[in-house]
Order: sequence, then structure tokens, then C-alpha cells
Amino acid sequence: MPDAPTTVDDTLALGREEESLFARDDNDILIRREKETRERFKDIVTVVIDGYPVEVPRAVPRTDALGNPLRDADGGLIPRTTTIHDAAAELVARGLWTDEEFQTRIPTLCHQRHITPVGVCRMCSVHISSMKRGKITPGRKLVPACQHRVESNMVVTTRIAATGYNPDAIATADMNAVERFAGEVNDSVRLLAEFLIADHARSDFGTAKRHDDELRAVGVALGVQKARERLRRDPEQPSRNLPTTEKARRFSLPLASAPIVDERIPNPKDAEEWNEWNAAVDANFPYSSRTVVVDHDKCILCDRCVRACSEVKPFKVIGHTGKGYSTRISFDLDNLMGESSCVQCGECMTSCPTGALSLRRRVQPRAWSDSPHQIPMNPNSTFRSDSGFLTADQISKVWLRYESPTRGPRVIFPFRTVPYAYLKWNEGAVRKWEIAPGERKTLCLEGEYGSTAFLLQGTGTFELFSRGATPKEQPGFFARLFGKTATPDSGIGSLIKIATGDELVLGEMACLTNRPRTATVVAVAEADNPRLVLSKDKEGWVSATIDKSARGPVVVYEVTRNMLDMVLRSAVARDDLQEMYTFRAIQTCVSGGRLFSPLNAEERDSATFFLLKEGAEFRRVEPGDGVVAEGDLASDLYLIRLGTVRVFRTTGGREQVLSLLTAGDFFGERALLSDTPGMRSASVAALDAVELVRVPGVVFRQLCDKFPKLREGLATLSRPSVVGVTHEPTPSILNEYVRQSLFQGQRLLVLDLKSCTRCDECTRACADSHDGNARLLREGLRFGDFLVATSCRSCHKPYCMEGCPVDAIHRRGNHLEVVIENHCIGCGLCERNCPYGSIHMVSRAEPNTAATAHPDGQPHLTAARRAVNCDLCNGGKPFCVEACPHEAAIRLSGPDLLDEVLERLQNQNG
Amino acid sequence: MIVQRLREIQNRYGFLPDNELRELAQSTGVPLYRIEEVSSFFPAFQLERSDPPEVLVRICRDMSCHHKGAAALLDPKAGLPALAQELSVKLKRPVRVEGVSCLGRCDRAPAAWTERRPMPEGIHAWVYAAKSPDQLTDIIRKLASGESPPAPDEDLEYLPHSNAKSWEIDVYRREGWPRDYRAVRKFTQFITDLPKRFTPPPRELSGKELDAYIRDFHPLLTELKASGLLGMGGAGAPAYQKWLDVWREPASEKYIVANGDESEPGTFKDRELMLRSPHLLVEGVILAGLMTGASAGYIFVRHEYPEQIHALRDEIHRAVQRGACGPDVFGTGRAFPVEVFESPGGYICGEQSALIEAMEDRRGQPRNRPPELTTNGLRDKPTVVNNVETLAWTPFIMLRGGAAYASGGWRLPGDGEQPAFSGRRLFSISGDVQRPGVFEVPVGLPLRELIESPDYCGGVKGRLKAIATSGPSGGLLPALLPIDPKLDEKKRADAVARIRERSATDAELMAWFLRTHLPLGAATLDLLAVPLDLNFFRNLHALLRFPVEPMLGAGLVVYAEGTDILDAAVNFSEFYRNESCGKCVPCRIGSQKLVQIGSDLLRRRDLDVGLEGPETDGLKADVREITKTLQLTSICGLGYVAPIPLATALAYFPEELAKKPS
Repeated sequence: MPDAPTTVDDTLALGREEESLFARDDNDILIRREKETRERFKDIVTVVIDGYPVEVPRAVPRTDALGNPLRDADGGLIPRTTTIHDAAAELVARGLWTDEEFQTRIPTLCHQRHITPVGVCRMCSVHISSMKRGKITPGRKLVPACQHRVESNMVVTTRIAATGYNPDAIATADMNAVERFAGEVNDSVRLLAEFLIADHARSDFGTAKRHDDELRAVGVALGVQKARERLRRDPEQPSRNLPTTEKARRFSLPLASAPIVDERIPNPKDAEEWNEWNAAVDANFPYSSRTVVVDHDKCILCDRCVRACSEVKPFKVIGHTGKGYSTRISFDLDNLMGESSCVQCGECMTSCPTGALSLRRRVQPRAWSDSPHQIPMNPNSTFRSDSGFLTADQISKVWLRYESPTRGPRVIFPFRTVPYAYLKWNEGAVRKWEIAPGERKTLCLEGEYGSTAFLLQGTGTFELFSRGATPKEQPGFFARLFGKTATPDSGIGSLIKIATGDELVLGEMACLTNRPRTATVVAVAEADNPRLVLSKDKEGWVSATIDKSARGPVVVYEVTRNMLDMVLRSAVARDDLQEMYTFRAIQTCVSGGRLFSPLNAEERDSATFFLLKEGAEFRRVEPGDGVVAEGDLASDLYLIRLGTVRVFRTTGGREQVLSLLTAGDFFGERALLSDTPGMRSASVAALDAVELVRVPGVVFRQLCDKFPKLREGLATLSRPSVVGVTHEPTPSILNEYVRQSLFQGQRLLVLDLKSCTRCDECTRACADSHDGNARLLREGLRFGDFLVATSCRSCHKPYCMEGCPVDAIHRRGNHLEVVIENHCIGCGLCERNCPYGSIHMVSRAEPNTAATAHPDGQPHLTAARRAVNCDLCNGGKPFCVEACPHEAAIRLSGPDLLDEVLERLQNQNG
Repeated sequence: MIVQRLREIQNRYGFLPDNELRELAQSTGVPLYRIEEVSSFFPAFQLERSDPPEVLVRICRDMSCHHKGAAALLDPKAGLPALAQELSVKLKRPVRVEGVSCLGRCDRAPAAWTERRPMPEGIHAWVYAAKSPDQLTDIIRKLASGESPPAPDEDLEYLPHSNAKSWEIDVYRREGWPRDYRAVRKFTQFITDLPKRFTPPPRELSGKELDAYIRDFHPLLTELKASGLLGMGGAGAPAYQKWLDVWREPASEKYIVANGDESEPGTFKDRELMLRSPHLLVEGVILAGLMTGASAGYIFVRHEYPEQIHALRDEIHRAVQRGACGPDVFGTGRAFPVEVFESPGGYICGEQSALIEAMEDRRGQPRNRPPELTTNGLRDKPTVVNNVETLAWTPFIMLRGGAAYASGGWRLPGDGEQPAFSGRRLFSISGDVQRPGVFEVPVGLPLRELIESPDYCGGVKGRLKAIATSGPSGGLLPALLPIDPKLDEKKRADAVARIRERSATDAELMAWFLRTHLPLGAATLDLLAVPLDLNFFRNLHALLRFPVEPMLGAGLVVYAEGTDILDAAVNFSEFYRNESCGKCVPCRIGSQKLVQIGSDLLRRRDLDVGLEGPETDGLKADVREITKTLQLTSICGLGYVAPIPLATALAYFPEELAKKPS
């Protein structure tokens, strides 16, 4: 046992002030806040929290709201300082504390792990003792765990103190002192909770539950339910929802004076309720917008919305106004929210812990054609239960039985971590399908773009059909001219796989990557499909059992992309989904990869199994990141599951692109085939978000030994520089092709400058057919003889779709066009996301009827805005192409354009 | 930059029009919400939305001014606001009278700040001080009717009671020297003569080796150490340590910031220093800059001190012309520009990290520390933030030596080798004394001397009832402080021994005090006997465990018999509630709850519904709990001191809960 250091008695506040106690490290040197370095990832310190020692690195990677690590321009992880809160979370991750225990010991209100800590609510206050000049020195003030960095040998005492105290750690601290510190922490935190409850715990407005109340939950955890008489808020204090001066009220109430009638509310009673609700919101909460009810009296100024608006989302609308006790959150220049530049993305509402920002109207998602009519906008109205759409309460209780390949059977609650306000807002984003015993249901069709995924409850079988890898069709000149897509044949192809109901999720790839479905899925409920029962044991652990004696339906939950995004914010759900995702990624890579084309179906299955067993690894690479570098020792083979990489050499400091590889391709095999590992002859880097399967060289060689056909196939394999291009491009042309990201395009609008007379008929035709707003711009970069106009390229990787808060932008059916639905809230995120400037924000011809209106009836800017995009004229012949009198406008895919340019060059030279 | 731009707009219009703010956002690329955060936070700015009147009269409502009847002036029914209402209607010109936090004219209470849009070019406001209600009524009438206002009470023309003639801090005048920046020259000469490069000590040096290095290569810093100069801002950290820390920081840019945001009620010593001896401050800033290797200096002055800002700007101009600052300090090739930063206002900006936030165009909200400003200060660079007086003492120390400053402290009576306090400092005193003003005294001078000596305050007007020893932050201490009579010989000896661990001198001084002023079994302590020394106050608390920690600041307010202590304590609490920045929950809500509790007590007393015994106990327990929580969890010192006024009133003047003093 180590020698116990002496503890300084802090009970005397002696004179001679020094720098605040914890500003100096053990060597008496001032602690600098330097830019964290990646070296600190490896610098491990031990912190003892309530007797539980935990080792953590001094820095951890910064993550986004989804928990994905963020990277800098060089592709490296961005470090941030490890806090006491992180160290405590590590105890949870190691199974030493439960989540509840964590919340009880270190309650939080203002902190969320994906945003910068501000330490304002002080609920996470803990006591720390640090090593100072060889002595464990207790602090005089408490520190916020969310913000205070870890130091070696730091002893942290929470409000619970020694429960579960580690006997080895006792020697390092004076138990009496620890009890006293814990008492101080507990008393302080409880009083602060009482303060907040006294001032901000107000009763809910409206008839439906619309948000989680974290303040009350923390109160319950602390045993503080209400404030003592003396601390209650003076009932004569005016509400903060009413502007203090005449001028502070930007325009007179009521805001929505005209009754709102919406054609989407077929039931007149619904319309009436909706109008009443709106009038009540406008009268009581004038700061509200059309999506969010703003109740300043409930706001505890935790700054979560402020940071959500500027850190999680890029909008920078929410801040503070005023000072001291009268501080409020504010939008722009303390405008009403609906009057501000707020884009209604809802991030603030979902981050609000008290319901100060709560839901005013639901989204009516368009993932299903019937949903808008099923889901009323008024969040207080219920909707028909036979529609299959789940209410927020039902969604949060959804459970799935899942057979994890590595961790065995599990029961997971995928939506439990999604904020209630978000569920409520998106009621209609989860649809329950029940397939009665003996029935079948087609869930999705191969080749269609789907913006939903299927979560499987645990029973049933799922048949996956595919028409197989169809040879690349070479469209003739006419087909190219009119941008025709190859129509899928009517059959659903042959059965390729049977999945079982305990595989958690299906169809998530199409949903997460915006690619077409790779298979047709049919859910089958056998006549004797058993019932699934959820049960709890004495200790509260949940399990799901199969009751073979009873029949039950096969249950599938279909969820929209934006909801799946929210699910993935939870680390637990992410782990489970990631596991399946990885598994399937390897599967698709092997079954569909060009490397394995010499193998038959049976051999491929066997190869898949072999790779999974031997440790093929799934890897995500961010745009710009390198995968292998020229000159490195070769050790692995890579299969591309998704995205595009460029293969290049660097000569004389200049990069020379050799080829582009896309999904289904592979690289790194050449150096592995010889017995001695060779050097990499070229570098490979990602051009967009790329997903790879990494196969270690040893495994690959074993695989080749097992399937000699593979090695033979490789020897005879000829690979074009760019898939789908028959001519060999020169490096300069290929460089330009990459620079302009033309490889992304599936339907580029190009103008043949040899015949184009700049008559602008194409633009006019587009405007005429789209409410007068042209969705193309006859401007852009030149490639060969062609001008690539600014119009939707129908990218392989549609950046535009990332993060749409209401799932308004997606592809549907087997159409290539990116559709922006009418329920677009005008947030402009897709406009920002599109790297090619193809999406425009335009005024709505018809104002959004749900919008907050001025008394003069004019709807406000953002409410009247929506995003528009080339819709390829709804899959028909694009008018821009059709209208061109000189046959100069054509729609081409990237490789076709490249081929065309190369062919013209050859003809010129030849 | 935003803060300065807002100031320009405010000067142009008398308030901040919304469309100007939008334009500012557009031209600077700063999001609107950031502009709102800043413009709505600082009292110097008036938003269009706040309905700015044409004539604005702000009456100081704090401490001394409250004591001299500001509350009656601000009575919405019978006071000046009613007059404003009447005039607004009659003259169809909006007039508003409102309360404002301390204006720093505590020696001439009550103070009034008046503006009429548009203000004449170059005039910030007309400040009136010590005016009777009738005079103020007259002023407001004149302003409202468009007549030219009566001559304001300028700081320059008013000479407060003072012993300024014998101030040692003004080393030039006492020595009969011209103000020629000879302390700066002394340092630049030293640098020029130094045979090797002037470099900070290696990072690994510590203890004696470090001391030796500094002695050899930075002897003037050793002088600062020898002087024992403490920060005069309140916390009393050694100035030497801050300078050394910043000197040692490896950074290409470092800054010196003089904290002239003197906004604590009852404190106005820096007002006099900056107005009458600006050269001391400017020289102090330059010295700090050169000695720590800093690249620029800023003097942060509250906007309510326009004359002081003017004096400092003039002095900086003079210093540049003499070559003492600017692009090349006395031919050394080193550049050190000094600039005045006009504070947008607010007591909280006196908190050093909040001050830095304000300079960086954010809301003046204190930062969570560590890191300290000495490593991550202005623009994330190492920064010295010192009080005005701290810096103003440095020319004396550099020219006369650290020992000369240290030896200025009060000596215990007797002859020979008596232990002595160290240094001298300024106190501003207001309230019920014969001669309110600013006095330089030896540190450790017994409070009685300061209050009663004809050289200083010349006695109390009436009988002494209470003293606020640190503006409002120390609350109100009675003339006789109750102490535990069971303090035996052993406990005393133990405490003295513990003090000795930190400082032998401190221990001897304490031993002397116990011997001479606290006989065994004493049940009270004579407040006037206590020496005016920050560390002595702290040690005394450690020894006697007062119910509330006593504080010693630079502003003392004396209250004579007849003062309504509870009313004063609630007034102090209101000050903290009004000035809380609102960032952290304990301070934001706690300060309001304290006001709520205090106002409720006042209301009940007025209605003659006094508290019952158990209720009083419950109330006291609640206030104790709030005090402890605020002190443990608040981010900065404002939350730490906010509960003290009410706590002292409950602890020392419980009888006033039931009965208003006559």
C-alpha cells in the first residue's frame, strides 16, 4: 500500500492569498490551456471518483452530435481535454456504474457530451483534491465536473461519496473529510436544484406531453420536488414571455390573426383545434415560431440551445439578451423566433432540457404517400391508431430482440435516447408493420431509392431477392441524349439470402448512404410464427423470450432517415447498428465485389465467412483522407464498399491521378501477391465518404490459397482507369475530371459548346416549367468541349441530403432525381451542403400555411422559403434538353462525359 | 472592435438603433445574436427597444447614495420618476428618471447622471453630485424644457478630503522631480547595460535557483518581490507572482491590462489616482510591460469616468512624445503601445476574466478558471491584469526600492525591533464621517486612527453604528463584534502556530493583537482596534471564526446611529442582484432569492408582522445555506460575496428584524 500523503487542513481560511489552488500543477507551474495535442491521447492519468479509480487519457477525440470523431484538414482526430465527467462516463462504459448511478452522483443539466462545456448550471459540482507539492490538497471551492480537466492523482468526491468505496483508495484520503465534502456537494447541488425548480418548473402548456423534463428528473434524483416557501418565485414577478416595453414587442398580437386553413387537414374539427392551439400559443408565448413554442419562464439558461444553434448546427441565431436575473435567450436582435433568421431546424427544441422550447406543430413526413393525411399538425391531436404510425410514447417504448454476432442475445430500445421533443415532432416517422402468421409482405424493391430502414423486432424470416449484377448497359446515342434510365425488369430476381428476424435491421444502407436498395426484401411470417414476450427479472434486467405456444405477428418498424440519424446519436444504438452494418458491408463487398467475380455463389458465401472469421475490418474514410501512401510497406488489401477513391503518384510535388476506383473495386492486391511484401507503387485517397473493408495481407494470401481461382482471375484482370470509360484518359484530363468532381455525376447537364449558341432556351424552358424559377444556371466550368452547367448532378454521394431535419430531401422509387418535398422548412441546410451550388432557396409561390404571419397577412421570410432543385422533370425528358434547338444540351453521367471528351480528342488527333 | 463600434453608434444617436446594429453585423460578419448579446448586456448601451427617452436621468441607488436618500428620490410615486412622468406629458418630450448602479461619486452622494439627446459634441453626460432634491428637480425641469443645463459637478473641480500632499505613491511630487518616466528609464538603462540577452528563466528552474536567476538577471523584479506589494483589487495576490508568471510564459505576445473598472460602491480611490496622477498609472503599465516582455498595454476604465479617460489619454500622448512608450521605448528598440479601453460598464467587468471577455467583444461574464489569465488571458495570450493602484505603486518601488515601500507599513507602538506591517495603500471613505475622501495610509493602521484622526476622516458624524469595510461585499460590521468567550490559551496558540507556517511576521502581529486587545474571556472585539491589513482580516477570521467572513476592501462606508441596517443590507443585496452577470445558476438565482428574502423581511417589519423565534431560526439557517452554496459553487467572487450583506445583518443586528431603528 502506498504511503498516505498528509492532508492539509483547509478549515482555516488563512491569509496570504496565492493563485487559486488548482491553477498550478504538481511542479508549481501554472497550468496553461494549450491546444490539446494528439500525444495526449496516450498520456494516461488515474483519477479516483468516489473511490473508483479510473484510468483515462488526458485528451479524447472531439465528436459530433452523432458521436463520430471529428477530424481536421489533415485527417487527424481533433483532441479535446478530458474532463471529470468524461472520466465518470468511463466508469459507466466499464460497467462499474449504471447510467442511473452516474446521473445520481453527477447530475447534469447544462452539459451534453457533444457540445463545449460551459459549466453554468453547476449541478455537476464535485469536490476535488489534487496533488500539490507532494500533499493531497483539498479544494476550497467546488468545481464543475463537466468542464474541469482531469489531473493525475486527482481525488473526486461527488454528492454520494463513499458508497462503493474502493478499499485500496481509502488509504489515500481522510474518510471524515470525504464525508464532509460529499455533504457540501450534496447540500449545494440540492439547493441549486431547488432554485431552478422554484423559478422555472412551470406546469405544461397544451394537452399533450411534448418534451422531456430533465429539470424534474434531476429534482427527483436529488429528492428535491418543490421549493420551500421562502424561495418560491414571487408571483408578482411579470412573465418573461411578455415584452417589457412597447417597442420590444416587435409587432402587435395576435400574430396569426387570420385563421389557418390547411388543405392537408381534411377533418374540419382538426382545423378548428389547430387554429385554437395556434391562437393560444400566440397569445401566451409571443416569442414562438411556427415550429417551436418559446416559453421563457421555463428557461434555465443552460445554453444548450445556444450551443446547438452554433456548434451542432451552423445557424448562429440564438444568444442571450439582458443581464443577470433578467437574462433571456434571444433570437438575432431579440426578435420573435418566427421573425428571426431562424430556419426552424428544431435542434434547439430537441436539446432543451425543460421544455422552454417545445413543439408547436408536427412534421408530416412524406416517406409514405399516405402519411400527411394521417398525421395532424397539431401536436395535441391524436391520430388514428390503425394507421401503423406510432406516437412518441409508443416509439420510445419500441424494443427489439437482437442476436449480436459477438455479444449474444440482447434486447435494445433504439429510441430511448432520442429526445422526446424530437419523437413528438416526428410522430409519423416510425411506422409499425405487423405481418400476421401465414402472410407475406414486400418491404422494399431492389433499385429503388429508399429513405427508410427496417428495424426487426425479432421473429420471422426475410427473403432477399436480387436480379444479380446486370452487365453495365452501354446506352446508345439517343438514350444518352434523353437521359433515359435503364428500366428495371419486372421480376424481382432470384432469392439470394434469407435473413432472420433477430438481425436487428434491414435496408439501413440505402437509408444511410442514399444509395438504391440492393435487394428486394419480403417479410415472411410462417403460419406458426411464435409470439415474442418482453420480461423483466428481479434485478430489473430485461429479456425477450419466444413463446412457442402462442402465435404472433412478425413486427417490423420502418423508420425514416432523420429518425435513424437521431437513433445513432446514442452510443449504445450506434454500437449495435454498427455491428450489423459492418457485417453486411463485408457481405456486400464479397458478394458483389469484382475481386470475387471468378467465384460462384457458394464459394462467395464461404469466402465471406472466412473473411469475417479471420478478421476483415470495416473502415470509414473521410473525404480527403489517405488510405495508403506511395512507398509504404504493403500489408493489406482493401475492398471498396462505398464511395470513390483516387489512385495517384506524386512526382515533382505534383499529384498525378492514375485512376479512380468506386464501389465494388479493390486495391492494394499487387504488392501482396508476391511472397515478400512489396512497396506501395501509388497512393490512394478518398474523394468522398468512403467505406472500405480491410483484409490483412496474410488473410488475403490464405484466401488465395483456398480459392486458386482468385489468383488466376487477378492475373488476367484488366482494369480501366475509370470504370465505365473505354478510352484511356491522359493524366491532365483525369486530374481535371477529379478536380471538377465530375465522377460524382449521374446526370450532369452539359452543353456542347461547339453547337450551343447561348440562346438560353434551356434556362427559359426550365423556368417555364417550374413556377418561373429556373433551377439551372447556364454557367459552370468547362470540360473539353462541354460546359458543365450548374444544375443538379444527381450525385452518387448526395451531400445535400445530410442532416435534413425533417427528411424533406430524398430520392424516391427508382428515380434518380433528388426530390425536395413541400414540407421543406426552408432551413437552407441542403443549399449549404451542395458543393456545386445546384440547390436554391426560393420564395414559395404559395406561402406555407403553417407559417407565422404579420398582421398584414404577409408570411415571414423563412416561412415563405423553400429549397428547390432540378427534379429531372419528374423522370420524364428534362425540358432543358428537350428545348435546346441545337441539340447542344445533354444529360450525361460523369464517365460518359469523360468518354465523349476522350473520343473527340482521339478523333482530332487521329 | 464591436464594443468600440457600438460606442460610436451610441454616441451618434444616443442609443443603438436596430438597423444600425444590423448594418454592423453585416459589415463585420458577426452574427446578429452576438451583437445582441453584447449590446444588451452593458449599461453603457441603450437599445432602441428599451424606448430611450430624450432626457435620461440616472440616480445612483447604491450604498452611500442610498444612505443619502436616493431611495426617496427614486420613489415612483412621490420622487423624481413622478416628475419625469409629469414633464413627459406636459412637454411632450419623453423624460425618464431611473436608478443606476454606483457612479463612483460616493463622497458626494447622491450622484446623478444626466443625458439629453443629442448630446453636444465631446460631452458624455452631465454629472451632478450632492444635490438636494429641489436642485435635482430644477435640473430635470431645465433639461426637459430644452434650456441649457446648470454647470455639472466635475471631478476635476472637486477636491475630496485627502492627505494627497503627503502621498508617497506620487514619487515625483514628493521628490520634487519632473514626471519624466525615470522608473522606465531606469529599467531600459539596465537592459541596455546588460551584457547578455534579457531572457526569462528556463521553465525547469524553481525555488532558490529561480530566485537567484531573477536576482541576477531581473533585479527590479526582485525589488517588487521585496516590496511585498499586494494586488489592490480585492483578492490581494502578490503582484510579483503575477509578473513573474507572465514573464516566464513563452509567448510572442503578452498583454498588460490595468483594471480601472472601479465600480464597487464606496470605492473611488482610482478615480482620484487616474484623474490627478495619470502618469503613475501609465508608467506602471509601461514598467509591467517591459519587465514581463509584454507587447501592449491597455487601461480599462469605466465609462462613467470620462474626465479620467481624458486625463489618461493626454498622459499617454505625453509619454509617447517623451519616448517612454510607443514604437521605441527610450531607444531600446522595444515597442510598447499603451491604449485606453473605455469600459462599456458594469460592476462585473471589474472581475478580471469578465473584463477580458468584455475586451474581446463578448458579454462581461467571468470565465471558469483555471486556466488563469496569466497563461490564457486577452486573446488567449499571457496577461497581467492589475488594479490601477497596484500599477501606480510600481514607479515608487522601482525608484526607491522594494524595502522603502515595505517599510511604509504601520509599526506596533513601542521602540526597537517591533514587527511591522508592510506597505501603504489608499482607502476611500464615505458615509457618516466628517471628512469623506481618499487617504493614503500605512497598511496595518488601526481602523480607529483612520476614522478618528483629524489627518484622515476626522471622526464620525454622530455615534458609530456600523462600518462596511469592503464596499457592500463585507456586509455591515458592528462597532463591537461578538466573539466566542471560550477561546482559551491553547486554541489561540494553535492558531498562531498555524499562521506562523505561512508567515512569521503575521503570527507575531497576531500574537501582539491578542495580547493587547483580546483578553481571555472577552466576548466582543472592538472593530476600530483592528489593523487595516487584508491578511490580518483573514487570519483573524481563521482564529475567531466569525459567523460571517469579514472582508477588507478599498472602500469603507461608515454608518452612524440611526441607520436602518436591514434596509442597507437589502440595498447591498440588490446591488449584487442587479450586477450579477447571470451566467451561473447560484449567483443568478441566489442573488435574487436573497433580495426576495430581504425585501420580505422589510415588508413584514413595516407591517409590524415580525418573525417568530423558530421562524427567525429557519430564516437564518436558509440564509446560511444559500451563503455556503453560493460561496462553493459560483464561478466568480460576485457570487461569493453576494450573500454576505444579508448574512451580517442577521448575525449582528437581529433586533432590527422586528423593529426599525429610530
